Amino acid sequence: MARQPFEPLNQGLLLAFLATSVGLIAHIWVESLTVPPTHGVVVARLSAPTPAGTVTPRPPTPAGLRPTTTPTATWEDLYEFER
Amino acid sequence: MNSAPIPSPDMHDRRRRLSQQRLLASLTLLLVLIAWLYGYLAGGNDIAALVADVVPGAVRVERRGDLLRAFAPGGVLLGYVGLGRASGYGGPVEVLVGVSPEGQVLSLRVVGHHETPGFFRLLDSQGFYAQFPGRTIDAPLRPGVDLDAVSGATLSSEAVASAVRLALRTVAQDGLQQSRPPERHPIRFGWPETILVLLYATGYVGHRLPEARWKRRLRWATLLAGMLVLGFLYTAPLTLAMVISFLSGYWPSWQDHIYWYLLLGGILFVTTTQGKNPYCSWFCPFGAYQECLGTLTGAKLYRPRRLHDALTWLQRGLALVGVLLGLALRRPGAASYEPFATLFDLRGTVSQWGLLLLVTVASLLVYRPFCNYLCPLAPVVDYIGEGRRWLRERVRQWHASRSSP
Repeated sequence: MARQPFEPLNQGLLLAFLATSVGLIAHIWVESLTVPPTHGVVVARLSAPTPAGTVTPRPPTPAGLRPTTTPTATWEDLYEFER
Repeated sequence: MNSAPIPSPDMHDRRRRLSQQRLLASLTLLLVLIAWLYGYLAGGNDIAALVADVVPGAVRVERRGDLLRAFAPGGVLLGYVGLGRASGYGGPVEVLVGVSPEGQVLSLRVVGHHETPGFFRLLDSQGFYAQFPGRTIDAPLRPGVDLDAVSGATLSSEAVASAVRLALRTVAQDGLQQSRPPERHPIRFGWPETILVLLYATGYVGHRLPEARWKRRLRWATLLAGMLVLGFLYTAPLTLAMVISFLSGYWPSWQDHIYWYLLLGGILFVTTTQGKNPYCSWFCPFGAYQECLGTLTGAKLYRPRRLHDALTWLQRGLALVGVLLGLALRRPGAASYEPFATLFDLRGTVSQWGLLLLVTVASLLVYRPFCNYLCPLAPVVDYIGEGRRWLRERVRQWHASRSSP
């Protein structure tokens, strides 16, 4: 029978290798999957504001949007920020 | 009278194991379907709620398809917002682009992606997004032309640029009423695609060579070519992310991603029709890396008999968890754990470097440790092979039942 390399020490080494690898893989998953896919992506924005007179101060962080009850004829959805 | 042969205990044992494996394979399929359905139902963003991020000051938003109009109090039009989608590494990348009424890009925000977070972050840290604001709506916006692509996240940066272009096209046509020529999609067939086809062809021929010496030489040639070209030069090995993207329905445009179709489609095709895995043993770049290291020390395959089943199920379990996570969360890039890009692109997190280091050291002691104990792709290919066997058995039984009187 062909000699197995490093037998019987190899079995302990193999199990140690596998246990460490599985731990690292679990950590890779936790690292990757706990980062929300969209949040945290920095918004790139022009530093100068839009043309004078058209920009109003940004409202407080919107709690959400609610569809209005008066959709226009051409635009299928209409939303207003709750202020 | 002919009596039926009495099955030996060995045959009994084999049959019992086969039926157990098929039961588990069915359960796996069920779990994958559940994860797919969960991911499908749980996806989606409220795009309109994010408009205030790209058009500051917006208090009212009107939406028609992928175009939104943002208004200030009093009904003053602040700008347009276009939603654009393009295929990245792990699936579609979605961006919102804010445009002033004069046609100047104000801002952009990525609202959805399926890329590997560690690599996708490079776009932000290397200032890729900052190249867009201030551009006019008719700028080319192509990496290599008027944008700097991000090394290590080339596909992701190309996807963001492409999605921005599509969003701007929507704004130009439907918002600013400017006519635009249709977007051209030239077919991209370059060196990686050519080399891949050659590797498939060489593997096909080499596999059939009667003389072991030439077969071995040809195999080494394809392995080294795979490692150098598909690995170090283009960083384009087969990954679990590709498989999950395929299952999730995130199929990229074929004109821009022929390589994706050749690699994944080729393996699926050969595995289902021939029952052979052409990739792993003939040109997997990471397999070649491990094999080169093992050759230096003469490392042999090590698979103790009493651990054989446990090792098999550990590898299958890792692959299954990866597929389920990727499908349920619709994040193929995040579920992929192979340290391929860490080796070939020299980028990764501490854990990915740790795993690469561990596999590198282990490769000096054992033949292809990652391939044999940890790689998620081998179980996926085995699963397809098992499905093929099952189907062939059913067809054979059906033929037998039809031909018997």
